[in-house]
Amino acid sequence: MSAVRAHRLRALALLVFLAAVMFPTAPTQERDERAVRVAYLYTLIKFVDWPNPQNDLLIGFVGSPATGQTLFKSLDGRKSDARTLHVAISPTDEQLGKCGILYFGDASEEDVRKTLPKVEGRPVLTLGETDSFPRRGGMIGLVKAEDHIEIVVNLPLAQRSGIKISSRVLNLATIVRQGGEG
Amino acid sequence: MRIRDGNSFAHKMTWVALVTSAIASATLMASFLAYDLVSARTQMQKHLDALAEVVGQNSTAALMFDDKPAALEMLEALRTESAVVSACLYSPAGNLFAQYLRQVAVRPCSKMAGEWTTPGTFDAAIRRLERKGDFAGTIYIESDLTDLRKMWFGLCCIACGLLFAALILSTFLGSILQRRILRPIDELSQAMHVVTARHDFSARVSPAGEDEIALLGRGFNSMLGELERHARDEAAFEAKLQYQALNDELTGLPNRRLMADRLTHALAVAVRELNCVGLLYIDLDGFKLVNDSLGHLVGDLLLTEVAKRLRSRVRESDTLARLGGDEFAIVMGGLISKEQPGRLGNELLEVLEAPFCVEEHEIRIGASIGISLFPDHGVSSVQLLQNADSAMYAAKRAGKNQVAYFSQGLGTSARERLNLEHELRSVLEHGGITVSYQPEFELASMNIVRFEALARWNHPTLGQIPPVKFIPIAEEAGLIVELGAHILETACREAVRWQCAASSPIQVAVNVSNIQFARETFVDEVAEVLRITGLAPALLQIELTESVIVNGIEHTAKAMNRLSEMGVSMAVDDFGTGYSSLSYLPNLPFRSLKIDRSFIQELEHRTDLKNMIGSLVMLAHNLGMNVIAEGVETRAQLDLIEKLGGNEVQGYLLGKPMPEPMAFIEAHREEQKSEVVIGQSKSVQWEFSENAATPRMSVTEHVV
Repeated sequence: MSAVRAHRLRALALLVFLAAVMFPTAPTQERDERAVRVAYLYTLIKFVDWPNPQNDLLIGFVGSPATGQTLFKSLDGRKSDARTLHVAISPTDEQLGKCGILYFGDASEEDVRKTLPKVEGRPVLTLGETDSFPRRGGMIGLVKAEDHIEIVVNLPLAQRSGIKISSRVLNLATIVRQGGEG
Repeated sequence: MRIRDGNSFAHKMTWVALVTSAIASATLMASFLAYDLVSARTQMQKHLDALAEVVGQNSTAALMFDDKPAALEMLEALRTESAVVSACLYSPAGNLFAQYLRQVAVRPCSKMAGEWTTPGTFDAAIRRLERKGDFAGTIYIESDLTDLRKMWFGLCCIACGLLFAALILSTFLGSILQRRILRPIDELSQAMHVVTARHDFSARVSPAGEDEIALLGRGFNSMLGELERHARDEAAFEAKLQYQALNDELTGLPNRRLMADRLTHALAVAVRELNCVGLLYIDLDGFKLVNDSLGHLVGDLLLTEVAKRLRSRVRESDTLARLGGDEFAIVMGGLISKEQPGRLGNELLEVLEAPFCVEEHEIRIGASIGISLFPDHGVSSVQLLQNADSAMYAAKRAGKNQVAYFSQGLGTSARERLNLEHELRSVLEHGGITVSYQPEFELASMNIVRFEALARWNHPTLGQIPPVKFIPIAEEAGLIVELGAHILETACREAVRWQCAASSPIQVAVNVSNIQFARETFVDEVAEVLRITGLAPALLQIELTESVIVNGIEHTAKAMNRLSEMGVSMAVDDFGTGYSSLSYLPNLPFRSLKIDRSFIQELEHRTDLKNMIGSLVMLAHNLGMNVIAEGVETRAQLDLIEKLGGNEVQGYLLGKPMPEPMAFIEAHREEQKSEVVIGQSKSVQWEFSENAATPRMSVTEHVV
């Protein structure tokens, strides 16, 4: 498996280049990382099915404003598979009720702990940026590992909420059990 | 004649079956293989497409998340597909993202999408990968068709082997089946061989079943049956013909041919054993009458009965034959005495004496039998037959119902005479006897005084038969009365016509036979003819030969006197050739003497004849008779006769016999007239032509 990982790392260079093309406003390494995460999010949408699909998909963002800005700029108003994406930074409770995705970008533990229970049990795809996020109630973690982003999925949680994640993504991802180890 | 070479039917059939099945199988196999190749390729293509679809779809996420190891992992799954040699994934930008190569030696993927070159032995599938409308990349899978082809060639080899095996099997089975099918044909050919080689139509085949060959066999059998029957009929017919050729159908007796054969044989035996052969020629008397009056059926039955009776008297070794009609013949071989045939002949006459009962008719019939002997009367069968025939004819002439041996005096023309007699009879009935007229002139005036009526018989095959030949036959056959009457009437009728054309009366001279003249009724008959025709009796001259005296001088004188009283004149015909007694002449009322042509022809060269004729003329004149010279053919003869005192002349010099004398008479009258006009009647110069039918006067020529 490690050999595969090595390959993956090599491919990262290409992905970075791709992200640079897609998001030209991210000049630094950090910004690049953010952009890759946004690109991952955007791609991930195509591999996820919601139990109540609607024409608009609202993405709620909780975390650092820089990441939020990047997300907003990149995705708000974009179309993905006939659906229009909307981004709500620091969503209100009402907005939370409409969210299909809740992204915790560089968010504090506290924010996560406060916000997550609000969507618990509902078909809201929750994403975080840390390895621990899927283990503490989140569904998918886009975790930076060495030179690439690793997808970590808490599969039982996602299944319980009614969200279906394509097996093709799962093939690429690391699967964790809630409360288990990665 | 059994056919066992390459041309045999079986051989041909085998070839036909072999070639047909070979073509059929080869076609079938080729189609199958072609289909197999095409479908295998199609299958391969579909499979590749499916692989590209599955692998591509599974690689979409890896492509999109830029996860090369995952993509390689996906591609690596193709290792289970032995045909796939390489698979390449390209990013949406077209760059090579990941590749799978089955072996190191395999040609690597092209760096950019769309730059694929697929060799001929390869097949490839290209798939565009998308996820929810987004272009995710391209997959290119290439497979090697070599294995497929190898497999297909293997299949071809198997097919060829199978084909070959099938052909061998079909040849083997075919020959077995053919033998079964061809057996009847073989049988047919053998039967045919029997028929053609031995002409044995009894050969048959035993057709079984209902197929064409069985039908052919049955047809063959029925044809042979027909042929057999035909051959049998033909043989029977030939036997019948053979029998008919040698036997008489009516009586069953040998016919003329077989008799001639037996006679020849008997003659050969007689020559070897130095004995005699007798031939009896039997002709029934009065059979014609039976046939004519009672019909042919009775005639035939009578002949059969006659044959039976004749056979009863004939030895087993002798041959009794029917020669045709009412004629039979008996060949007697190995004679001991020459009287034997005569005795048999008399026995036969006796056996025929008893009346025959045929169809309730009682018929009496006799026979005339002529006998000739070998070697006395001939050495050939033809000669013996002819002579026996003549003898039979002699027997008939001698009064019928008797037996006569041949003798040299009988002559050989008896049969001819008999034939002529038969023909004369029929010719008389049909008016085939015509009359010609030859002119007679008075020497002093050269006027036509008379025409002699001469009977003419134009025979269809023998030509003109002279009266000298047929008159005696008519006399013998008893036809002369009829013939004479016919000529007399015809001549008288003709003479009446002449009178108005002639300047002076012209007589007609008619020859009358002694037999005719001997009849009591003759004078009455002449009177009747004169009455019917209207001819003046003075214009009729009856010419009789000297032998008329044989009828008895009393009868002759009486008849002649009566005729003379009527006004009919009479002349002695052919004077000097018959009776040499002149004593009768003064007692009979002859008006003229006709000196026979034989004297006239010799006249010029013989002084004694001249003297004799001179004396004869004197004698005649002294008896008050005219002298007529017959057969005058030259001018010298004419002059001599005139000098000797002849009164009238007749002959080719002056006029040949002519069927229609009217023209001659008219021409002559015209000549006489012109003669009178120029008053030179006494000095007429005649121009005689030896061949001219009509004498012409030089005076006439001057006038013309």
